[in-house]
Amino acid sequence: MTYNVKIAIYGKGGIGKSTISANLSAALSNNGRRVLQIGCDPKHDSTRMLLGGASVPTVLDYLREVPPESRKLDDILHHGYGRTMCVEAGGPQPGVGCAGRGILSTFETLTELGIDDIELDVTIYDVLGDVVCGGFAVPLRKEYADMVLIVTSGEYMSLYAANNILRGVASYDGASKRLGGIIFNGRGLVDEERMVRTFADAVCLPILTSIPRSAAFAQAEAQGRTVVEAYPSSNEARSFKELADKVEDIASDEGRLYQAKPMDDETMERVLLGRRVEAAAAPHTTSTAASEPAVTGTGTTRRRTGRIDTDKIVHGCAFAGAVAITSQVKDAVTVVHGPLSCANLALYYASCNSVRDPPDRLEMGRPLQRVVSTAMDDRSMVFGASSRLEEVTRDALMQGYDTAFIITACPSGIMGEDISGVAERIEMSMPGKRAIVVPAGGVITGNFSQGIALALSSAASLIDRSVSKEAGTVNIVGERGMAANRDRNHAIVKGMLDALGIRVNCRYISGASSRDIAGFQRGEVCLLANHDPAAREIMDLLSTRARVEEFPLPFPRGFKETSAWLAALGERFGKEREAASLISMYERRYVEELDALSPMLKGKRVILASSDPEIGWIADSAEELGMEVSKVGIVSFGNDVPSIPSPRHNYHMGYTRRSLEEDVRTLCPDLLIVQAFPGVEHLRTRFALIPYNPDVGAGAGISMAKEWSVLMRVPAVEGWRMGLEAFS
Amino acid sequence: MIGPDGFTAAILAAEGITDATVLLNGPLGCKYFLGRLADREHPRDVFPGGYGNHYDLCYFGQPRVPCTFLDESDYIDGFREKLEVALPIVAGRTSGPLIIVNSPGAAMIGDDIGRSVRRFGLADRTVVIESPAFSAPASQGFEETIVRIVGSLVPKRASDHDRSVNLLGLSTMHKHWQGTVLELKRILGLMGLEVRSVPGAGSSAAEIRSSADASLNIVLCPEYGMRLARYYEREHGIPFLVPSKGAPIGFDPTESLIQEVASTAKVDATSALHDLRASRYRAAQVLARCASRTNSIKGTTFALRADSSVAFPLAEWLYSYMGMWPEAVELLPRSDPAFSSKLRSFLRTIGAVDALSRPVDTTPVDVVLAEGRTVDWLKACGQCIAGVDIAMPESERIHFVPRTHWGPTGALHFLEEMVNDLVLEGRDSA
Repeated sequence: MTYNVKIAIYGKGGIGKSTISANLSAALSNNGRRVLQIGCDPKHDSTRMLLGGASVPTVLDYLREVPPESRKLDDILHHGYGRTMCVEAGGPQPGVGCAGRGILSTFETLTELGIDDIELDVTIYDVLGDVVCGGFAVPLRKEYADMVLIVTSGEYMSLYAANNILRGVASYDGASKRLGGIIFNGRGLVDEERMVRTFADAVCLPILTSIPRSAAFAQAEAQGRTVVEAYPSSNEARSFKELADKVEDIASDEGRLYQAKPMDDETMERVLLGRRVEAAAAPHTTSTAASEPAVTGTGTTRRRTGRIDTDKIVHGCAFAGAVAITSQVKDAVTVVHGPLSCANLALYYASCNSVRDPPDRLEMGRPLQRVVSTAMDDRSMVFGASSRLEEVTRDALMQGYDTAFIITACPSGIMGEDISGVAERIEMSMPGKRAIVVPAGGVITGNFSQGIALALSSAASLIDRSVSKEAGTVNIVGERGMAANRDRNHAIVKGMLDALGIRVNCRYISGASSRDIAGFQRGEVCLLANHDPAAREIMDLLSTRARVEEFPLPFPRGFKETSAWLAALGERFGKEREAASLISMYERRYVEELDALSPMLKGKRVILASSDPEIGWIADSAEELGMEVSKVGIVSFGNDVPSIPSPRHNYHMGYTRRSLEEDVRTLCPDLLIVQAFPGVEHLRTRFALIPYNPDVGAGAGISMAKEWSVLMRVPAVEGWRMGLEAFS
Repeated sequence: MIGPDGFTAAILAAEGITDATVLLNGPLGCKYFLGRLADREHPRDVFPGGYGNHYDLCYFGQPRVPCTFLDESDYIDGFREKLEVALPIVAGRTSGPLIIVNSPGAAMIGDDIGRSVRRFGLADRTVVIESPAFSAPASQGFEETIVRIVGSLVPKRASDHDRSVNLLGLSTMHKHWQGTVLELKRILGLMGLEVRSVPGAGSSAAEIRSSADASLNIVLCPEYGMRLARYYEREHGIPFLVPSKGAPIGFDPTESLIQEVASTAKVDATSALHDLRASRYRAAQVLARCASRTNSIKGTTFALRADSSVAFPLAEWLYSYMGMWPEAVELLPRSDPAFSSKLRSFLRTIGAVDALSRPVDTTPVDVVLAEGRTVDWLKACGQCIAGVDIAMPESERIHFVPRTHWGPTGALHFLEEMVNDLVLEGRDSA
């Protein structure tokens, strides 16, 4: 027998694998072997019969109670019958946490505490086989189990679980051999032995032993002992002696191990239950690396073997998008229900949000103070952290915040904790406070944009539908939160609204307080900052939560759009005279500035390229300055073909980077006006970037043109780039 | 305090090895932030021309920390498919060690990463960090990871100890780490000692492989390096030295380090001490010429948050050298017990032990020495006049010249930052 043979014993819950494992350990011990039995079942009774019936502290209990620096192997390793040693992994309370993750933590802890330094002949893992998720499959890993034994009775569900276990092994091993055989643990059922034998034949495994149903097991258990210890001369004990000998023989000769050849579900039913199936099924699934089955608790799911669909890759995560929104709400705290690394990431996005121009140092820092975390660690990933969440949220609300947004990261999302229950308890016990769950689940709900939408949707629950409209007021919806010029643009719009005598009721959600959001319905009209899909989505959402009237034009850019916007707004609010006066003033200023800039830009050839089709105002500005607009290319991603709001310019759809490179060669533009993309600097042509969130107002085109005029006067390629080429 | 935790530190520890690559087994949500952070702390590409674009599988437009772009379906079906897509891509673009680190979500799945690594024949160059220290102190995540990596890189062989040292306990998370490595190499070079490796702070895998030939390990911050020092002692018989004054921040702690290293390694400290004296002289020369302004520094108060191996030397130096008073001193979790005790003893001696019970975030002082983000916030709030960014999460300030706060040159840099900020900001707020 080789040194420390590791044996994983799997079987359906309640089938008797702990009894089998303990008796096998005892029999191996009687053979003079040093045996370690590790119970990997949350009910933690695997080793009880080896320990005189004592229930011992589990590894997971120990991890919960003892700090890392105080942990010792002896505290969780218990000496049992003969030369056996025992460990119980344990698990969280039913309904909380993640038991599979607990198995991982147990194995890591044992390794850290030096279990590998103990001289052993055999290690037995007693593992629940009903659910073969990644955590419970850890003992199947090659660094753990040298041999896998399956315990089953003749009941169909037990055999079904046995087949599932074979699928798990096949998934790990492919064509290699690690199966020792089947241990038939009889339940005294009719035709039971035939069922097990049929199964064993079908999956090409030997039955190592048949343990008959016997009262001796219950009698020994009542004494807190194994049958091997309590009744050493019994037939049952002899069976385990034979089993121990066989196991040792197999361990000494790898040629006696078998490949896992699980049946598919249809074959199972046909072979064991005699049911006919429509489609012809092969007797065995042949496990190859190309088409290995993944195992679930209820059946087989074929692995996705197709190529990665790049359009379906989830960029960013919903969690981060949600935090970027909720951290903007002034009197609300964002509770990150996840590890500290997620909270740190959240602060990064919150700080991106708050980089403002001109910078207000105090405002920059405020969103960062409004984020707290439950700091989930390994322990809370096993046992759950809803009580910690409740405590952290209550503490935060007691600091004076009116509202708490609870955002779930990946671990809390995977565990499926009852976060809504926590929020309800908090709201009931803290009158006047709101706890709103944003169930992002890290990446589970989707990408960054989907997180934004989710947070905006969740925050809309604050809207009080009983609030009445107030004449002469507007709400602002869909401002781009992470844009540096967000507040500057707001100031420009607010200036125009002030001139028309219109008041801003609520900005949804930039810089709003939860009280502003509650009073959202007071706004007579909603002004959209942009007409992009994200803003449209928010507007659609709000229209389901409140009675809203949508203004048809987005925030204007350039003189023409601004004139149209002011005229329409004046008409809606009966402020036509004020609007006309404002337009007239802007026009005078616009003409003056065009005249000043035109000499520097007149006749210059430009190419515009953007994925945002709303760039007509840039083309207008260029043309009014006397520039020659050679091409306007609209880049489209994936299947999203943008609609063109204004076909006045000759737009080239489906524009690509290659098209741009070709046009630069053939059209020799003086200036590219493009959205940022990697490598634009390698085109060696002057370029101006279209901002993520362009300035608004009548002067927007002029402010861009001022930048173009400077760009035309400085070198096309800056000297510092030469330094890079010297190294590359 | 929200900041980098053990998971982030595990990523940065591995990324601190110049030719190593972290493959983050996790979603893009983690990757974008960590990739940016790793590239900022330890930039290697001259220019991000090789970034590719957002559709460049695994890298997604960033040069560092490729990932397996997991999503919900991978949490349900397992991540093996994505991992096996990523492994050949990343292994094909790199040649150094590959460190696979599970994200918090992936760590709950339990899929067998080792199996896929073996399948692609990458076992010899791969280390798998299956459960990085989520939410644990950064020092813990760094130590656990660097010990694993060094253990896998350094061959078990008879060492040929020479006149070289390893610097342990320095990470890319330490403020101005690159400048610090240069400065310490310079000062040790003046003593005739070569620095063989700085595991986790800029050394290559080859340098780390040769680290077993060093004759001494210098543990600059025990929080980050003690486990590794014990590993080297146990496995390769290399003794280690923990400088009695802690990290060499300030003139006195630097002098102490020089003398103790010289004594332990039996080398001549004369040149290094001469260099230190020149820096002391330079500092005194400058301070003396602006005495009218710097007089106002004497008696100013400071708040300090750091690991004890940094807090102890810094607090003692500012007190004794600049005549500043410690109003609040906060130690980071998992601070070294020996230096925590020395700090307490020092504060008790000067009658300032209460400082240990005052939080940095809420104690009004003249100068704050803490994470850059905290310094910026407290200055904006008017809770302090000046501050020095000494730790992560740092401010967004960009540095062109490698700086350091450690060693003779670092003391000058530190004084320059603090004194200017205190004098100029103090004038503005007067």
